[in-house]
Amino acid sequence: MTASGTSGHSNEEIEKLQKSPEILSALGAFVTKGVTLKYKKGNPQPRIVEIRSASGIINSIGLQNNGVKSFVTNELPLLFKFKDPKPVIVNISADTVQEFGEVASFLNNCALSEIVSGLEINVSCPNIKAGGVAFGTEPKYVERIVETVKKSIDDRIVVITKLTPNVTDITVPARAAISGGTDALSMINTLRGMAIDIYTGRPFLGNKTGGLSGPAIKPVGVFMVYECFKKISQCKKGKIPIIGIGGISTWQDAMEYIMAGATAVGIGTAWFIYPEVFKEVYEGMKNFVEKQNKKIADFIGKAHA
Amino acid sequence: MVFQRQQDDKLFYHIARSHMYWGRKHTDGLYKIFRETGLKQGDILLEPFCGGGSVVLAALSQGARVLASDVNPMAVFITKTLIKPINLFALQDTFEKVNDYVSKRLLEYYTIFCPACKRKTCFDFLKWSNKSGNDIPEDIKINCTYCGFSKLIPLAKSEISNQLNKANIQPKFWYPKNKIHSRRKTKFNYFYEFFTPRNLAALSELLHAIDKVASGQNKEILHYVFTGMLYSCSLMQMFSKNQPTASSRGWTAPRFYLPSEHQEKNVWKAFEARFKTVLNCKRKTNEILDFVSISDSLKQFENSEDNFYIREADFLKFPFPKNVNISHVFIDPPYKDDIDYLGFSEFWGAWLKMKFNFKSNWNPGSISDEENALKLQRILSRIKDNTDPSCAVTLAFGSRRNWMKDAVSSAGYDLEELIPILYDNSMKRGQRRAQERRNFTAIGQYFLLRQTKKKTKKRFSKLSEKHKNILRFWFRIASFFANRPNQDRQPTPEKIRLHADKLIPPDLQSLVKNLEESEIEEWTKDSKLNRNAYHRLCLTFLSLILSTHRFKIFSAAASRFDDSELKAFFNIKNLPEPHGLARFADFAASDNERNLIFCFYDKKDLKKEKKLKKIAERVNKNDHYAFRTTCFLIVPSTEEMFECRQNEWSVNWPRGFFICFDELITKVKQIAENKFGYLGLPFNNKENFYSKKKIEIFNATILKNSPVGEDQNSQHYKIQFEANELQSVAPGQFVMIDTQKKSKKKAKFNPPVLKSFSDFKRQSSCNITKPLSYLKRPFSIHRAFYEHFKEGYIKNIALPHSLATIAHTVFPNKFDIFYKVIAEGVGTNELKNLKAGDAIQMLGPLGEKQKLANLSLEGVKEVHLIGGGVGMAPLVFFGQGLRYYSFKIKAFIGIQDFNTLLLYKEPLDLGLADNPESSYVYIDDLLNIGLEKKDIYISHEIEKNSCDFKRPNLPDKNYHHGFVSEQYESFIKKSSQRSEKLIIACGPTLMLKALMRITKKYKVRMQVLMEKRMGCGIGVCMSCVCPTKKNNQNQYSRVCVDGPLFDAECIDWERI
Repeated sequence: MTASGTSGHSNEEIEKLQKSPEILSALGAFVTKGVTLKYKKGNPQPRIVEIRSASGIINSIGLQNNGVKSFVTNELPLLFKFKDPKPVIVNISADTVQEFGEVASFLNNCALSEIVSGLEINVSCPNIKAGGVAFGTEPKYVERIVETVKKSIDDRIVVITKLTPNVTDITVPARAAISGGTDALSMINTLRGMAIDIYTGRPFLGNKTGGLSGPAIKPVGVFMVYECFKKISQCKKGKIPIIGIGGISTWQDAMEYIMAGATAVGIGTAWFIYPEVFKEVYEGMKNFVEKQNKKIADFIGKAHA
Repeated sequence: MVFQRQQDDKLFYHIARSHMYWGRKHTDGLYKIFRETGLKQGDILLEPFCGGGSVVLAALSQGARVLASDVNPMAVFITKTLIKPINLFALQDTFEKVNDYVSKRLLEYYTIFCPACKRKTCFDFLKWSNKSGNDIPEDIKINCTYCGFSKLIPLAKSEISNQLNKANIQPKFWYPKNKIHSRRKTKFNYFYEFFTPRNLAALSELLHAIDKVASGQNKEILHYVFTGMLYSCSLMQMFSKNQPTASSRGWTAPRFYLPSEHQEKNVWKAFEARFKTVLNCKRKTNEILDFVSISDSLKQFENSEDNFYIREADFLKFPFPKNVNISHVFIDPPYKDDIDYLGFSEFWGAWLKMKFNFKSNWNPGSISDEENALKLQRILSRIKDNTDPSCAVTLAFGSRRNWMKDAVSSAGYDLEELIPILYDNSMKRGQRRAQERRNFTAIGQYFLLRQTKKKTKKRFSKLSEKHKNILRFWFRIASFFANRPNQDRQPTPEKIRLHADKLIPPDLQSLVKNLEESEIEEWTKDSKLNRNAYHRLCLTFLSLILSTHRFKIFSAAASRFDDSELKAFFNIKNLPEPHGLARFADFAASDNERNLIFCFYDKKDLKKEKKLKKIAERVNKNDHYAFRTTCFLIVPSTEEMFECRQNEWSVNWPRGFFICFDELITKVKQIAENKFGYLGLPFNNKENFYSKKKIEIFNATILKNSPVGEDQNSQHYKIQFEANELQSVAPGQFVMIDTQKKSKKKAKFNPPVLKSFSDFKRQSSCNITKPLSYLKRPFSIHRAFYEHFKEGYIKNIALPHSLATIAHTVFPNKFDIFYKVIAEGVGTNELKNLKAGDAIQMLGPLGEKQKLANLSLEGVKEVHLIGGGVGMAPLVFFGQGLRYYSFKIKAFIGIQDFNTLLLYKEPLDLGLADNPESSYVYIDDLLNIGLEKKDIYISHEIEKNSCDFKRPNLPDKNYHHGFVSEQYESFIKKSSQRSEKLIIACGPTLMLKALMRITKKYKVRMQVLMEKRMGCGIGVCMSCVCPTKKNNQNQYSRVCVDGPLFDAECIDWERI
């Protein structure tokens, strides 16, 4: 029911999760941070800035990771060690359409592929120059990427497409992803944003611009989920489930997403600040739903009725 | 630990229910047997007739490596499927896919109109009766999905013909057309005749769907599920009048039995139900078996770490491995002649297209006793020829079969009865009321087979008296540790041996093998003597450590070490009883200036706590923080020491130190390598008890938050807070602080669990013009305070260095953080406004833990702490730690203006603030942790008239006007032995870069504490990275988890 946000794939964090079973039990799935074909060192510093009034952060990490090979040998096995295994969804990213296919097929054919139960295609990261948003805003690219990825993996692996909110009409890339054959949609990635240090007159971030996340973007996310659910018939019929991500920090936020039409929700930024957020969101939603003697499925898309 | 697996009734219950393969051994019983035979981690066990696989499972879960064999391909399949860990989610997912693919069509076969709501629903089973000679459907069990109607009702007349029609369909997909080979067949010749046409059609369609949708391991499991429920979907599923709605318990009949009344089950529902059972079973087996690697060949098994190899062939042709030694054999030959395992297995195997080799089948019931005996004898001889005499052969024995006894003795084995293994057989059959009628049934006896030969006489007598004493001493210690923590039971000789292996000197190891178990038991049965041996060992070790620092043990309580047998080994003279201050202690040491008092403690000693308190009180009363007399408590394990160091417990031992045996032994290995280097570690597998990262989110209460500097507009603040959760913090580590106050009310109602962070943020965010923090802020710890130690105590402590590295005090519970408020900063401004009594939330301790004690191993003798501005704050904590380990310390402080260091006092206190001796932050702190004035150097950038500022009272030469790096350079120029020195620096990048140039020039090692803007503090967000060089490759390292302390060489200074 609760999907993890794209939050890290470091060894420490996995170890930490292993030691807190109650947090883990509230998790429905574990989504890793973006993995690319080759080692990527990331963007210059500073990489993170907080915005006023406790509403969010702007980050510009630039997909720092050691590449998919190192990911499979060093980090995937740790996820396998969970006592109560959670489905692992690997977030993948690349600079070209072909590379997307290569990363996907590598994960599909690696020794531990059986624990990878889904791939999240990142066609929306605002912090890399080629690809990222550039792909995400062009429907024909989205379609081609999804197609390529889908072709390079077995049917058993679910393909989720993570959409960018940096478009006029979210349903355009969403439709493109569906026609490319995606099994689910997740929205939204970070909004493009920027912060300027007025005392130096220069941008805060090393990369100048970044991606905004945190409570500030929740209304945007809820709206986009709502739009997709309303306008795209496959979503409405439940054939293509939507994973709502963006600014969730309380169970109330999560319920908003569910009522807008999301089937599952993911939490990212809030976890930095409050590691037990998963548990609380899960329990809060559970209480809310049980008090009304209903199932969570009864609330999906309730705002449309 | 060998027997880490707890007995688990449920485990066997789930295994037995997952598939109705016969004759599985109960896992609890097996654990008992393994305990008797001494199966250890890494041993190799051979199981010639593996059958249902529970022996393999139990042995693997004990860490053994297993070789197995069975002629029955179904047994091989079941064993493999049972033991292999699987991702449950992927499995469930595959099942859902099969469900999507086929379930609707299958359920369509079993539809009927619900008598209650008249809607079309599917039934659970149809009862057929064969009383009149023809099969007629009689009753039907409906479980309506719409109205919940669930009942067994007679079938309406009109429906009978309808169901007869429906039941008569042709299968569309493949199904086995094999002939039945078993000699116990009924009137049927083919397996498919056991199913109604409808079920045959449904089963073939289901199998087709599984093959199509699933792959790899998931497919195997679904096959397992399929075969598991196959029997219940056949004509053999009887209808019981006593429990009309239940299904029969499984295939227990010794033949293919066709009841006169049978159930025709809904195939999909049966599959679904069985899947759940198997899923539960796999959940259980996953828990106990997290790693199974199956070899493809025996060669691979021999040359790799793989822990399982199974061969599907006659055991007589089993090729024994040549390079590895089989130390255990568990043999459970077919002796119950009433089940035709192989012939019956074909009922399942035919569906999976398995090939059955009936030629090598051994069916004891069909041949004479002589032939059986010969067969068993050949098998046992083969085992005997290919294993060591020490190999433990366990034989499951059909007690009434005399031919087995003959075979055993003619194969050259003696029988030795093991304890009768009893278990509750009822669990296996899935009986609900197992608790009520818990009748234990012994199924067969188990015998340990020993090779018949002339018994060797006790070689023990050959040992010299000296060797005997030494061995006995170590065995006693091994026994002391073997039965911790529950000391009531006498540990098994195997367990003692296991511990003794790590203790006994290598030159005596060879003698250990010849010892009889009874000798060991004789030696170790007195737990008081065991404990005394342990005490004597501690005494010996400590005298060794102390002697390197010219300390001598001068008294020891005889009662604690009294063991006349021991004296022969460790030549410790009769020491006088402790007296004076140490009257109640166990032993005491001295170097004529300082006294050290030692006591033993372990959990069982309840009376001792009072005694300890008395000792500590007496010492503290006489000592007045001079630390001329210091108390040490020796505890047997790290965990117990951990408990003692908690603030609550430490009232018994205030201001005393704790030493644990684990660390003591490590230290002794270091000091006396030639003598004790062989000692094995650890006694308990929790070696990394402390090094494990324990990050917690917790509330801290602020005790003080006051500005530092000459006026109230000061930018520097010092905050003191109390938090027991931060106990394991080490120098260099930091905490992430949520700078907003937690509302007290909430904390009161919900003390342990914190409400969601956004709750209180929302309350306070009504003022939108005021910036609020969102992320937590990282702060380094400036000082740590210990409950029972007065401030400044560390000045007086001068423990011998090697003792200091293993001695611990209570955990700190109060901490200082020193911070600078940045004018436009959000977080620090919020922090500034917090008052005493407020609660704040923090996450910690974070960052890599530094082992300062290890620096001395690297040859470091003197440490220079160089701090620029607030950069000095964390270095004070370093100083505190280093001082404890008796390193020489020099501190260099770079500051813009002295006045910022001046401690702010309330106006009333002005008179005190004038006293320059004790009113400078850093300098105060450094003096408090035991630095002398001459060791503190200070540089200031702003020139001031001497009357304008109050200068700390330090020697004149320690002042410098300018940058701290300039001052340091002039200092290091003059000093010698630079390789023994280490710099730990923290401050502005420019200062660090300047220092880097100096260290390169003078070849001094430097470590740098990095400060970065952080997002999460736990290595997730990657925003705090710092450019580093590794193998000449540029990369970014995360300050929060890879640091914050870095070797200066690693950092890429050009890119910073």
